[in-house]
Amino acid sequence: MRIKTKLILSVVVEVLIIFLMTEYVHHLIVDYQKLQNHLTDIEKEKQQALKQGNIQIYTHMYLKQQEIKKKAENTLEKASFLVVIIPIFSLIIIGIGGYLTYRNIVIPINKMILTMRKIQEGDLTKQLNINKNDELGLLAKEFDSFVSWIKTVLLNLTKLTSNVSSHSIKTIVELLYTKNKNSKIQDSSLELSLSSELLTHSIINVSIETGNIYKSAKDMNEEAEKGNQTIDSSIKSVQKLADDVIQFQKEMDNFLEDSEKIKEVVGTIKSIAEQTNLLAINAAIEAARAGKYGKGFSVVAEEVSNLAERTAQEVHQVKNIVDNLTKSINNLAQSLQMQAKEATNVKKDINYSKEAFYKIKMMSQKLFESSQTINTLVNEQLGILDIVKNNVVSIEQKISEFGKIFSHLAEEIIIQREAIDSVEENISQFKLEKNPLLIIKLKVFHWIGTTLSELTYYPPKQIIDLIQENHLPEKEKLLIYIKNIDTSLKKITAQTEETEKEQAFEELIKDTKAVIKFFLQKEKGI
Amino acid sequence: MKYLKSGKRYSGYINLPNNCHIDRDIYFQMFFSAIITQQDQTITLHTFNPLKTGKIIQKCGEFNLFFPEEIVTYRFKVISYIQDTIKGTFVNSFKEKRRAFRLPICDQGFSINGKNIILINISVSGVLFISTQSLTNTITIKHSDGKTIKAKIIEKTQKNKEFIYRAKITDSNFNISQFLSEKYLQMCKKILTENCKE
Repeated sequence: MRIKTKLILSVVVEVLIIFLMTEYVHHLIVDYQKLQNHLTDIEKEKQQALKQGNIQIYTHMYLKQQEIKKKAENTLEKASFLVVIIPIFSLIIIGIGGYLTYRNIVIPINKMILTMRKIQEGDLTKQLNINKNDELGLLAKEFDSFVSWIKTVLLNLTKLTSNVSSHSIKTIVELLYTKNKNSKIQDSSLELSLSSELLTHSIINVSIETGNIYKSAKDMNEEAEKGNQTIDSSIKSVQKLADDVIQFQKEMDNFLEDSEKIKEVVGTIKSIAEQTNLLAINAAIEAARAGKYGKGFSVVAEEVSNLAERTAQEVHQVKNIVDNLTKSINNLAQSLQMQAKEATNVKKDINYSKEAFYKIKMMSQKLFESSQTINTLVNEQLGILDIVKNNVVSIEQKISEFGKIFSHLAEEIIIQREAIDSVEENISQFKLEKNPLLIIKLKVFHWIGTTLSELTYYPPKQIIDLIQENHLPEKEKLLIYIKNIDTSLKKITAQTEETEKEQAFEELIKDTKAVIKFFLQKEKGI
Repeated sequence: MKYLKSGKRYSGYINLPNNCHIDRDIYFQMFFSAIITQQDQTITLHTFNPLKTGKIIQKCGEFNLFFPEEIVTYRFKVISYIQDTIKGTFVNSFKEKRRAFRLPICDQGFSINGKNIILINISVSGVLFISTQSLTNTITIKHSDGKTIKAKIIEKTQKNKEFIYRAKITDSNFNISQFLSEKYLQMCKKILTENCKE
């Protein structure tokens, strides 16, 4: 029955009883008034009987009066009794109503208040459990279902927060390790820019030296050209000389031939002179035989003999001269032959020199061209290096901007983490299950998240050191571990025995501590 | 500066004092490049490579620029530095001997005959060091990490009880060029990190 119906019924019954009692009192009062009126009438009749002196009537009236008086007094007593009883009865009725109200309303409300206080303290496992069909029973049922709904929502929220926390931790892990990468990128970019400048310095030095080679090669080419021209001129001169020598040798050969002819002529002359002398001797002999007549002829013969002798002497002298001349010419010819040979050799040498000069010229030309090409290439290199530098500067700017964005992102992630931590803390205050694994999971994530968040403030080098010193696991290991927390917790949830659950949970904590030694150093506990 | 083309990238260097043991000017040359525009005698440098060099140049006050076309180095003085852009004015120019990169390392980890020396300067061809020993001819410089340099002393000057030696490197068991490049990068990174904190 509804409280309202109960209350109305209670009031109606109470009012009805009081009304009936009051009506009865009213009826008694009316009766009493009627009896009083009747008494007044009897008194008049008694007085009339007394005046008339009718004692019998008077007595009868008196007795009747006494009877009615007694009846009226009884009626009045009844009415008075009822007037006194009605409030008492009302009080009893109200008391019963109050008790019923207390039992049906106040007790459940007090129970609700106590349960609400516990819920307010975070214990969402509490239920009102009021099995009544009245409004309070309905209210309790609604309240219990509302609490269940809040519990479900909070459980879902816990799961969501746990997921968000897990993802947030992964993001922090990525951030933490990307911070190193970003720092490494910045470092590499700086090294690249510095190296490009060092390379430029080196290329400029090469460029200057190549310029010197270019100038030298140019000078050498010019000198080779001049040398070539000089050699051409020398070759011509030597050629002319050789030709002249050869010509001279030919002339010498002619001269030798002529001298041989002279020799023959001299021989002939010598022979003639000898024959002349012989003839002169014969003539002298004949003149001597002629005596006086032959005296003049003897003189002529003597003269002829002398002439012949002188001729012979001259011829001999001429022969000697011609012989000497021939000898000299032969020597000269030999010398000329050697000269000609030498001239030919010189010509050959000069030709070789010419070829060598030509080669030098060609090589210097090549060197000149190569140095020119190198110079062009070096300038090209410098030009390309400028492009590289522009790109490096652009990359550096982008990396710097990325670094700022990264820092901003890191701050945002930390703020996000703090928000998650706050949500985690708030959710942790609720008691949702008897074995709050989700809350434990949240606490584990909260622990890891807070520590990793703190790590993000560390300089990248220190983070690298922590990884190298095995105080912080490598990114992949850490991510696998975070992923495994879910699996571990699911295994724990699957355990039916409470002791097994506790043991599994202990193992999880042990694993956590083993994986992240750094946390132990920080002496943080769940 | 007739060869200067506005909008072109030019290379240069800044001399950073390297306070070593001895009382002489030892500079560390830090190379950079920037895009240059010219207005009369005032030049504007921007888009520095490395990006943070501008701040170092601003602190140094003076810088040198190469003009390979002229084989001349121009010296400039910083007038202003606003938002990574430097305005400078021409001071003078000079022809400098182009030579192998030298690095003032001021390293005390080297020793000769077991006695420590101070290595002031090193290039691929020569070293400059301070020693308390009187040395002549060929020497072997050793480092604790196993590096060995054989060199021939070509100049020796005495200052108080110390000798300053200039020696020509004849042999080494490590790639000096690579060593110089790595040291250069380390020194530059240190300078840029310490002087250009965000």
